[in-house]
Amino acid sequence: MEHARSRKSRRRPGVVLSALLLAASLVTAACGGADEPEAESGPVTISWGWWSNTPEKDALYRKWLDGFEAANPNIKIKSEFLPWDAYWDKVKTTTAGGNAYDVVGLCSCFAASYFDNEVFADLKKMDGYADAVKGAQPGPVGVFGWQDKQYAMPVGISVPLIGYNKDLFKAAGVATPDPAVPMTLDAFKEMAKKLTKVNSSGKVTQYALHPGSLNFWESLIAMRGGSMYDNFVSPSKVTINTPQGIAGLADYAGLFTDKIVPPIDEQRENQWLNGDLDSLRTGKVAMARVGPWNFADIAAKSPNIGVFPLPKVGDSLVLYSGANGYAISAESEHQKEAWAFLKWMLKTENQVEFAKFSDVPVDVEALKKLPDFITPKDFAPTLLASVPAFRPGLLTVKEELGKDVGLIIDDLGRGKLTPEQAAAEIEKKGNALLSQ
Amino acid sequence: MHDVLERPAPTTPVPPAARSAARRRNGRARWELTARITALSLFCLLLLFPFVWLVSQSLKDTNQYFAVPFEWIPSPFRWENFTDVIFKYEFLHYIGNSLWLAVYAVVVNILSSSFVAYGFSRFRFPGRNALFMVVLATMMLPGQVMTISLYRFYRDIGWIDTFYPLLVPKLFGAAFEIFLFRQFFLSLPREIDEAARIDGCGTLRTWWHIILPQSKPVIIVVAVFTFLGSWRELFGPLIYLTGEENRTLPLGLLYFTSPFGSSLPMLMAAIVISLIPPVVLYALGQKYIDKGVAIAEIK
Repeated sequence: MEHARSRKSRRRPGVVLSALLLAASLVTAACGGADEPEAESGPVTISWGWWSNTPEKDALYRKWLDGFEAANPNIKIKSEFLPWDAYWDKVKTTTAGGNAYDVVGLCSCFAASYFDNEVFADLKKMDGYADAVKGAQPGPVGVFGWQDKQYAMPVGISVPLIGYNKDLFKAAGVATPDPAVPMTLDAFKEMAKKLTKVNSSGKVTQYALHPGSLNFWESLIAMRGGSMYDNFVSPSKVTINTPQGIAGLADYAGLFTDKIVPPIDEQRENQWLNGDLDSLRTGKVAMARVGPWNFADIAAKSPNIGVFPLPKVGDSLVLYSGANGYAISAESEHQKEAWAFLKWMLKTENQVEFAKFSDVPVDVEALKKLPDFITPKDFAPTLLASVPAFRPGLLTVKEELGKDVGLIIDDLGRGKLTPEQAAAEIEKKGNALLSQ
Repeated sequence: MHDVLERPAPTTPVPPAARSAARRRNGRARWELTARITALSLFCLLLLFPFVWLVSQSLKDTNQYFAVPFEWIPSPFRWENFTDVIFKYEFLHYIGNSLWLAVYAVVVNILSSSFVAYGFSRFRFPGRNALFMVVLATMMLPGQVMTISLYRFYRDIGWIDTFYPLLVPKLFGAAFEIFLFRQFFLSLPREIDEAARIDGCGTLRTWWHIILPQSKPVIIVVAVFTFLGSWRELFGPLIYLTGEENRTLPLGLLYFTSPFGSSLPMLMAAIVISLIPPVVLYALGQKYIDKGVAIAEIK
């Protein structure tokens, strides 16, 4: 014991500190994940970011990227798939920090601020731009245009469909909806009323539809002949306060009064969940928004889910949604290689491969081939019937606009505002914001 | 000795009234004990309730998860949630990353913070208090204020996509931990330093052999805070590192919820798994942690 103590007392704290520093440097050196600088003639590695869906879908995405690497042996892709919120936190921080991914995955829903701050390269200045975009649908390409510049290129569009739980339809004795012909709003409401279940004590145990992130009021207003804004891309004026706009809002409010959708205050963080596939899977919501981005998941895990188009008003079907695409960081040192990737992804065969596991292709030829490759195959007619109704959703640097409109729409759903009051309120607040 | 053992114990006659009073007292004491144990058991159940709920939900599928009325015992048990979390989402790897970062943070933070605090508590030098206030003032700066400038700095020195931004700052101590150590060191009598000096200890040896061994309570408190802080840290690993191999636990947990479809039962399974290391560490060091917290409170 004495011996041990005397040995211990000989240890020098200075040595301990030095050892600590040395160990820290060794650890950090060993763990450093930085890429080795590429040799002059070796392949160039570009960084690439996207948001994660599921491990299965991320793996399919990576496989698609492997196809690019195989076609371009001198370019490697270092991909990163992050959870939705974490991805946008990272994109925000890294673009502000001047170190964004070389290829930044982008949703049109968050694109405006980035475009306005010019953090991405103008693709119109890239070699072979006109040739690269000639096969793409102009609508989705236009979504990523900003003040005569093209800051991103769409890879696919998010076309919303109505997913329905076949078991709940069967239990309610409701016939399977036509997958290719949109039903009228009145027919839809009649059908939906049968799918909301109330127990003996008057409590709703099942809702027909969870609107989730559908922003259905925008479509209803447009289908009634009105419009929320003078232009959804960079609007300068709110134009909702018209008879058509008010009629669309009245249609939307009717979904609440008829108990087709859960009350606003029950739509988040509760047993009906937030909408979309999650809500359908609870077995307590008969219909919710789904899209091609869910197809692989549905095919693998939820065969009891079918799809049909959103309802139309009169002969008009309008679907406001977003497009997803890629931008190239303005500070990227590998813009040429990043552009090579964008050109590659716009080619018909690569669009087909992409659409097999993700969004509707933007390439016209790939779109024509959609029925041949989409899985599940019986979802193709619904998709094809819905694609022509696609319109780009709101794209503005005034991020408060969407939030403020959402709050007023919530009050409409709660019955605190009439459609007339809601339209007037949206017009007043919206125009005040847009004029700033 | 033999006599004492052999001798029958003297019996004093107990009056019947006293006997019944003693019985009543015993009965009341037993009842009080039973009531106390029952109350404590109920309180324990109340505390355990969220954990039992978590474990129950982690073994269900989505339909069972939302079943009304709530099913405490899943039928059938979905053990695949755990295997999927471990193998499909490679959660053990995330735990491994978080664990070594947390252990590093604990060791380095204790050494560096205590070393800085030793200086503040044992040496008199011009501007000592002002400097200490500057150290404390760094706690008032919200992390967001420094994020972009720090990121740009690390980018300029080529540290992005390395572990350096997560590891190196810890070598310089952390304000709150420095504060804790300093307050504790101030409560230790200076005479022990003087005695050590008389015995031939230099400054560093006094810190290492005299001060630190006496500071176990505060070391444990700092260890707990640092471990939990690192264990929960999301933003640093998110922005400074890329690649699946570098993912940490808090980031891994986010993969189960997304606007495109969440898997809440699997999220619960992942949370159960991620709770294991802190619970095991607490179980192993419970004695010291409780003591540390208690002593730190007294101090």
